[in-house]
Amino acid sequence: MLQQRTKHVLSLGLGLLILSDTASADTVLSRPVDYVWVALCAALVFTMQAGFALLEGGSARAKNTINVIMKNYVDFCVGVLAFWAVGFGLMFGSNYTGWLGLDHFVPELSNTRNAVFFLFQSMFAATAATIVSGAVAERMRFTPYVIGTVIITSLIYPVYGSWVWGSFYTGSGWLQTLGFIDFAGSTVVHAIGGWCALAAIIVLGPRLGRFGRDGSVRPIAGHNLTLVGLGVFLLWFGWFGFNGGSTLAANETLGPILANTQLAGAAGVMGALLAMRLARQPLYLTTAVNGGLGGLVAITAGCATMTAPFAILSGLLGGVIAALGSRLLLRFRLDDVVDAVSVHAFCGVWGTVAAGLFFTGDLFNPERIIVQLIGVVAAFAWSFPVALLSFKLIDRIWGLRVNAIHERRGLDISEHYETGYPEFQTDLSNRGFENLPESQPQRATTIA
Amino acid sequence: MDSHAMPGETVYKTLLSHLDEQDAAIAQAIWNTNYAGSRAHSLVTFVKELSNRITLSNDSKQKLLIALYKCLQTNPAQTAAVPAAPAQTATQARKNSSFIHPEPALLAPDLLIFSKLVEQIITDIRQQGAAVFINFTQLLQEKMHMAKLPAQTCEGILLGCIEKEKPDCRAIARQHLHLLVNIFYIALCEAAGPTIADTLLANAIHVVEQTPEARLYHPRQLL
Repeated sequence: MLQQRTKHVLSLGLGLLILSDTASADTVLSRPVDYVWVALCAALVFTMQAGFALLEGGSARAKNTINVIMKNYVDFCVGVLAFWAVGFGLMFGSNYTGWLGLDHFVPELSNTRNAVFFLFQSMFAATAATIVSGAVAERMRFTPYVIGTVIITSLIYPVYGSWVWGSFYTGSGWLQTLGFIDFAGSTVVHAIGGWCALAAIIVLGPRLGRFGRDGSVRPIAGHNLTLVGLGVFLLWFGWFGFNGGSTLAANETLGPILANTQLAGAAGVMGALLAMRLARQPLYLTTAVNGGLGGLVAITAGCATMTAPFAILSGLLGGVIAALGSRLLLRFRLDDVVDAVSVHAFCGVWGTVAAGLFFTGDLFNPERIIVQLIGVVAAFAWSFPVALLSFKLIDRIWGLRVNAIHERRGLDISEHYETGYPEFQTDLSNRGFENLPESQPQRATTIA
Repeated sequence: MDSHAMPGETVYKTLLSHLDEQDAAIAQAIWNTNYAGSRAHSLVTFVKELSNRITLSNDSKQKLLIALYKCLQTNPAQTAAVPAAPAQTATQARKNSSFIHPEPALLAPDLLIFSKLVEQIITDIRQQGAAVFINFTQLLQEKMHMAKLPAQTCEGILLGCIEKEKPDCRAIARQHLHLLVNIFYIALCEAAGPTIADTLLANAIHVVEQTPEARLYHPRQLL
């Protein structure tokens, strides 16, 4: 009995040691090797943008590809700039109250430590924003989407982030003080992005004809599943930077974090396959890759604080949740083109709870689980209403949704006056489109 | 022909050739309650409501619609007076119409191309099955009604849908052509799903592109 207690205390101590090693501001980004590692990871996270672009572009119909890719490019650029100007200060500025950072707005970033830290965190902010673009694909206007991105990266994401990660300079977030664990952002990045996506698709409504009057669901196949597969490979690749870089130090915790990431992703695919098999469905590629993403999202919170078997369990259930969550959304007639809500929000919630359940050396501690649940509920309570209100306001002022004519023509032409595949998209060409002088592009609205 | 105050008795007599007396009486009662004096494009709704009361196959529904449309093409008062009115053909009905119809060749190129495009779409959507087609027809009627298009325009197009003939495009104003194409697309989306809608529209464009008239007015200009 004594031996067991000793073992338990030692395990708990080890867990706390891991946490303190990864979370304390004093021990992170303190050596040149840390800078190199975190900068490298920032570059890896950057490749996730390419992954999102391919995944979402391939999941959309050919007539909307340019628009989806464009949104991915621009939300990254706008998101990084908005985060630099406002979001970084709100999230990481001196956090005396636990609710908001109050300085470091428009940071100069003149020293390497700050610059590398900003670089890494800006990638996270852009990731949270870009989650929305997949969900709203094929029917959301471009400019209102960009405005939504600014709101997410400069307000919704950083405010919640300050509650969890707001101790880099001075002070601490209130959730962090409670002991909330979200190592790399199952909730901070993914669930926040997912809830914003949910708000957006509620305001937008489904694509034309997605649901029949009799309640039937009409499949709208993506135009290129090869891109989808490749996109998820890139996302997975970038995830090593996402989770590995969140140590903010090149230290001995990296190995387990990266291994857990790998195992959970693999288990996620298995979970989705299992769910499809049990439901007697065909083995869809789209569901399988979303299962992998679900597994990766699920391990993001607890990758530093759980052992490999629990990482596999987290990932496996993440894959199942991603597959089932998609069905749940359809039942509520919510049209999410890439199942972003299911993958990022639902699996993010599960991953955050799993981080509390499977904390190494302190398994199934009710207090820890309650704290995790508080964090999850707080994320929803903050992000969803604010995003819903924001998108409704944007809708009221500028109009969120393209009109039916533009939806029929495709957003590539109506928003950008380009086609992704001109060789075979002849049916989508417009009146006079072929004769447009290159120097005088005509606005799409004039030909509506 | 804006409004058709077709009496229930006419409906009863018209439908007797397709239904037994009891069902025709039910139809008459429904008509008298909800549809007497209503516009022609509520016929689809009427048939749908009727099908909720009595068992009708999809084929029967189409036949009823055709019979009622044919009946509407004649003077309602005359129809009421003549018991065996439904025997009139669509061609005869058009001859009886209140405005002069030019031959198809005399249609303006844009209307001619529109007519061919719509005809092709209707042919293709029929192949998706009777249930989808009826749903499509109903949606088309609703959308045109919501867009407040003139009754003649709506009737001409719906008649083309139901009678498996060329849609009557003579009464369509040019400024409504793009709107109508969009209404067709939305109805296709909602009835058959967006993927099929895209395919059918693209196919229709492709087919019409092959016709000689496409040299005068390219079908893509309608998109």
